[in-house]
Amino acid sequence: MTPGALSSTDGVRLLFAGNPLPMWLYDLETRAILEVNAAAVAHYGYSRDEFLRMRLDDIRTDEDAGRHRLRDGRIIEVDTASQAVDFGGRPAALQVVHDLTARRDSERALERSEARKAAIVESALDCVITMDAEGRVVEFNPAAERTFGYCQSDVVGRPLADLIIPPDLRQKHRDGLARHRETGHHTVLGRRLEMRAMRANGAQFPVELAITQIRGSGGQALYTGFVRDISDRKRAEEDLRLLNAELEERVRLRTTELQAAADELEAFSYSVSHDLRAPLRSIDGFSQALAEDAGSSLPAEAKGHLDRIRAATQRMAHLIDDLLSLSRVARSPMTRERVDVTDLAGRILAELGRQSPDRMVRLTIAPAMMASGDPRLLRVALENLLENAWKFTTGREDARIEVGQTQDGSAPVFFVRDNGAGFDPAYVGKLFTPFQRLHASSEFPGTGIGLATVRRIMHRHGGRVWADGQPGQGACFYFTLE
Amino acid sequence: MHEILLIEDNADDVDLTLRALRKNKIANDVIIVRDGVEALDYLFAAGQYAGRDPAALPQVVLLDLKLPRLDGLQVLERVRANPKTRLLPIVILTSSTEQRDLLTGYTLGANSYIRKPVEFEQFVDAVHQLGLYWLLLNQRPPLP
Repeated sequence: MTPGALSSTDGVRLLFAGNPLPMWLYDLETRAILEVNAAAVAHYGYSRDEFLRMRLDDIRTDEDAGRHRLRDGRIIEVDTASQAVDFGGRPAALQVVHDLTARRDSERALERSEARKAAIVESALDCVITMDAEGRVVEFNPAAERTFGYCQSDVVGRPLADLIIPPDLRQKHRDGLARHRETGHHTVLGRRLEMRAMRANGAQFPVELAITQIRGSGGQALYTGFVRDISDRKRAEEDLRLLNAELEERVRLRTTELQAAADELEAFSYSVSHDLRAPLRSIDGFSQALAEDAGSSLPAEAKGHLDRIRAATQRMAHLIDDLLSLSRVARSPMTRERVDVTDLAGRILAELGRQSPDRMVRLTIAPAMMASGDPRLLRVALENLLENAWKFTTGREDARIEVGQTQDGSAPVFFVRDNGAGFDPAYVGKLFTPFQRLHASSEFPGTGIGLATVRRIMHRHGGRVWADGQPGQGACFYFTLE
Repeated sequence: MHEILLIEDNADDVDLTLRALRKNKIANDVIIVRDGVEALDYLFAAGQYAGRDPAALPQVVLLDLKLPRLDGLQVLERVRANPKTRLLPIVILTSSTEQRDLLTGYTLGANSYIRKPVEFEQFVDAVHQLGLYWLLLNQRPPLP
């Protein structure tokens, strides 16, 4: 187009004034802007009057003609096209502006995103391997190089199957890929898989992987696999499995030993129950027979000796019975149920009352006491505690026995309190030890096994038992079951 | 009057049992066998008792549990397994109060389970009750 006069016909005005691209006319000599269109006013933010007071260089940034400054200070990247024209006899130029900023921005964003993706792939700890629809390697990141022992430059373009898939799995891989190409059917995409892989040196190892399908820039199908060497994990799992097996074996062995010990104890108790009692029957029986048969010919002192033999026999029999009961408490199987302690205490005390109808004891049993424990063992424990309370209040006119419950944190604490003989708190530690007694047998009979039995029952429940008392002022036994 | 079969290996217990029976004026003959095998021989008229009339069964059997050779529970099991002695009244008389002995004894078909008390007078009393019940009150099962 040659320079020509700008006519002011409507058509030309429309092409200039109504053009959606920013345009202006400037004086070639002074570079003063002579006219601008509405698109320029809208795009640059200057009013027409402002434009007409400006020169072209006021719009351009100093360093670069391809960059313009808007009224608000923002810089845009532009492509311009100019045409020399005659404007009322003066040499001028018509300039059209094409704002490239948006396109450049998106190009840069794409570049940055590509760079970021490359950086991720480069620095990923997992192998990132991409192949095309024919199964040829397209991408092989440094982690893959480290793991498999190949260089990316050596493997790109080669069939993946021949590189990292163990020979016995290659056909399966090729078949699957072919089927996928033909039918779109797949069994591996988008899932976490575990399989064997092969290094360059032929060593096989376990991997977990996930494969996704992506589209390349030309729209072709690509498959990216994220592969992780799980040899260490597998080894740890195997170690753990071995350790568990070994532990189980040890537990089995210990259980057998324990069972053997329990069986031995069982046999021992059984034997005690039978064999230790038999001689006692003989001693008692024949002492009695002697007393009867010799009768009147026996001096009174000798009769007294026979009585003492028989009393000793009875004590021994009680000892054996109590020992057996203690051992039974320790080895009997245990259940946990809700036990009505109020009801149980009431029944035991009623039975004690029937056995000694001449005793006057004031009983207080708190209502609605419930415990969680083995009903049979709890009965044995409560029997021991209440029989003790009953026994040690013997001879008191105002005997009192109380069964109640307090709270220790969230756990219920049960107690049996009496106002009987009590005990010296200095010896409280001996109370629960088998065969330890704090009173003479002549004063209060007993074998010293009852409280040991109670303690064993509480321990079996995971609870405990303790006591306080003063000589002559009664005792209080507390227990918990959890 | 039918006899009492006492299966007991302890000589002291045998004497004391006989004494307790005497004191209770129980006059039935008492056959004493010392172990489980001898007990079965007697009941089934075998071995040293081969000449005995196998149909003549005791009024009651007092059976100790701890016995040489075959123990009391094994004797009980075989006696109950034999149609001839299936209904024979058998009272277990033992030192044991172990739960499993009680349970096995009753499961195998014992008629009573009595623990021999250490105190002789209590034992005499137990034998008195035993004699009253099994020798006087109880009706023998019909012969098979």
